Amino acid sequence: MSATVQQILVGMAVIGALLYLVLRARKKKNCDSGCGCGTKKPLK
Amino acid sequence: MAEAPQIFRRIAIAGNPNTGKSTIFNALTGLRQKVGNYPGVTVEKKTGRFFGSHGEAMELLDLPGSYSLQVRSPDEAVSRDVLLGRVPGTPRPDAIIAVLDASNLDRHLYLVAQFLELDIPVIVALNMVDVAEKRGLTIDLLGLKNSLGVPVIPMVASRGQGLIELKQALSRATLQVSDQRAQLPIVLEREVAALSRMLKGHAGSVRSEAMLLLSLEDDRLAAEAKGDSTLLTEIHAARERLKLSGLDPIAAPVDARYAWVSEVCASTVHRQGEDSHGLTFSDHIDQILTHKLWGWLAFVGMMALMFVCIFVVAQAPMDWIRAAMQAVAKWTGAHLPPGDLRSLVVDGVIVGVGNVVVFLPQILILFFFLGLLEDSGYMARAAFIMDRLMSRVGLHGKSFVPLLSSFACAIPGIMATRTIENRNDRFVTILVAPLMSCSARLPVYAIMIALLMPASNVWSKAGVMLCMYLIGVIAAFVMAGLFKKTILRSETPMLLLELPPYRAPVFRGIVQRMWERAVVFIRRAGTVILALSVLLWALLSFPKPTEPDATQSEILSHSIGGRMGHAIEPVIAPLGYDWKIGIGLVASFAAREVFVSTMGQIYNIEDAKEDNEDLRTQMRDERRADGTPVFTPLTCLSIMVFYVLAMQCLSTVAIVRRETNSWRWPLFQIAYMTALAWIGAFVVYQGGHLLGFR
Amino acid sequence: MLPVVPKLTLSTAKCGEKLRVRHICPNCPHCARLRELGFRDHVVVKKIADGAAVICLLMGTRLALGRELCDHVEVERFAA
Repeated sequence: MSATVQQILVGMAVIGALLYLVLRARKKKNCDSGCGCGTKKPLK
Repeated sequence: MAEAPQIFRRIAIAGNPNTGKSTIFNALTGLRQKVGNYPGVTVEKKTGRFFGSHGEAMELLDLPGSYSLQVRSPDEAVSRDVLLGRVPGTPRPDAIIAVLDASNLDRHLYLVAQFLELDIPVIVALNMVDVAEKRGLTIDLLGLKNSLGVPVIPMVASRGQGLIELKQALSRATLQVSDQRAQLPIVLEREVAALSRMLKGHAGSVRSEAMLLLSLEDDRLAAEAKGDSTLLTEIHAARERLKLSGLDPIAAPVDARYAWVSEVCASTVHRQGEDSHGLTFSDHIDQILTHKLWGWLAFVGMMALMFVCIFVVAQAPMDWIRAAMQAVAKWTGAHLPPGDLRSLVVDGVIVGVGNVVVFLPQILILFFFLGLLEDSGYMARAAFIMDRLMSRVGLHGKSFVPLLSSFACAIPGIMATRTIENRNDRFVTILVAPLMSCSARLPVYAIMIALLMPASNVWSKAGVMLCMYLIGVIAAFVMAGLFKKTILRSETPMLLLELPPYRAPVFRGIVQRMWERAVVFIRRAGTVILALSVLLWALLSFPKPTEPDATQSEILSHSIGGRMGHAIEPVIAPLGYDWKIGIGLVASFAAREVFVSTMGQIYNIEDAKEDNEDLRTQMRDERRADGTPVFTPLTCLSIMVFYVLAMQCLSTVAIVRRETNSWRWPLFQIAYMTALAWIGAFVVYQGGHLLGFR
Repeated sequence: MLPVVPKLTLSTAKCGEKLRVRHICPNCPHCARLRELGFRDHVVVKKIADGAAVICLLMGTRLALGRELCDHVEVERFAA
């Protein structure tokens, strides 16, 4: 694997993680703590 | 997706607490449940769909368990408002299923008496008829049906008996409103009728609304009347007239309903043999568990057993997970070329996620024990023995149940405060709930205890952990007392609590909940913790220093994370922390358990060795510039105390914001807890130093 | 002058005694709750445990009541 491909993969992973966290924070849910408190999210 | 069938009937299910209401709700609706919130208030709204005996779609609304429609807590206000059709977005139900405990009719029929006054068709689900039979009670079902004027369905909900009959009753083309109800004294009836004419709304609901207004306490009345001064004057005048005729507007309807209930019971319930005043199995257990001395010993013993189990039972599965994680890291390390990508996968993803997943067994054991305590009925006893302590700081024993749930997670704990009647007491409980050590702190304590006392036996380790939990409890008490005396002043509430009979916990239910929690925990590790780990790795790896032969330590120091750590070092140095611990502290403000993965990443990146050492060994070997170890016993203690007291959980902040309906309280909570954490850690570290500890 | 007989309340009654509620104050908000839970005049209660708080059996339900609250419930001994 060339160094460039590695760099691109790393960059994508970091940006992906950032995007995931930002989008997740914007999405409204009932209980998004993931603490296992048992509060269910609304079923669709 | 198929279009949802039109709802034939909207039905509310209501009853006293501990009558098996949820069992019937679950049996009817299965998995077709939906949990949301009522607009404006924070009480949970649980609805479900089911099909009647002819296939018609019904919507079932689960109302919070309550003893009366007279309002004293946010939960009860919702029940009443829904039944009066006052909640926007929730239509007035077409029928009510009143769930009653057959062995205790003379008390549970009181709520039915109130339902009958609402002019909504009622169907009585007479649950636990088997228990009633065992106690020698014979209930004349036909007589009861005639006296109440509503269908009465005998049920044993836990075994599914009576469900079909209940569905059949609900599916009838028309449901009759009963013409039976408690006869109010004529003077009161006249005032209620006069007041009803002033109110707007559904013909059936105005009467009960008028009755509620007449029997409200003054402070609540002002809120309920919504500033309608003519209505207020009229209510006060009516009350004066009632008093003149020797009637108390609060007591009279209650007495009338109970008199009616006694009449109904006298003609329909026949008791054989000894009445219910003999001591039952529960009473014998209670003689020990609620005893002044034994009760406390039992409570402390149970907690100690729980913590020992957390260490002993969880040890083996934790070792397996750790070994598996190291094997995966080694394999990946061997198959990827050296460079940033390998570092990301090995030091970022595998170490970051793995170090959190390791604690899954301990968290499951914690939930298992809390499930046992909850299901067996012990929680109410814990609240009872705690009441004396709680009343010292001006709180109700009831506040202890939310605090105990906060050992699992502060979020369900904070939501459980809804049963607390007084607003100020509720807010005090919310403010101190995150001081109770939640399961996310467990990984931090576990790793610190492992460093603090590697060779000690399980009992001393469990002892130290119990101490951490105790520090949290004591801090919660002290702060609650302080808040009650300053910003959230109110009278010490009086204890009034029902102690439900002990029941054997249903292990299937507990295991099912543990499984759900395991899934949630792993999902969280695979999503949020994974994403945070990747970001942390980036923060700890970039920007790279320009000189190519920089050591790993210099690279870390040069990174954004390293600079952040250095920036806060002056603040945390008095607590005995170096800049690397500082990175962990900053990172764990998103979620506490991230501390462990951050530490894992920091030392892994720095070591850059082929084989992944155990995090504990790496931390133990960590040295300061002068060669002294970083993680001295005193530093470990100081870190633990910091984690006990600090508010490092974004989800809790969000839930406090929702429950208090303002940003003021969560911000205040962050401020006071962070200050408390810093002071606590400072006292431990500097105090320990002065006493000669290292 | 008549001797003053101290009122027997739920908090002063002995443990294990079968009691009958004599009187519960009409105008106090705490008692409104008690009343709705079934503490009415003439109802039979049994005091099961006594301590920082009192546990009593009322119509088949065990209730824990704070001592101050018990002072509001005037009772009399009841021979079955």
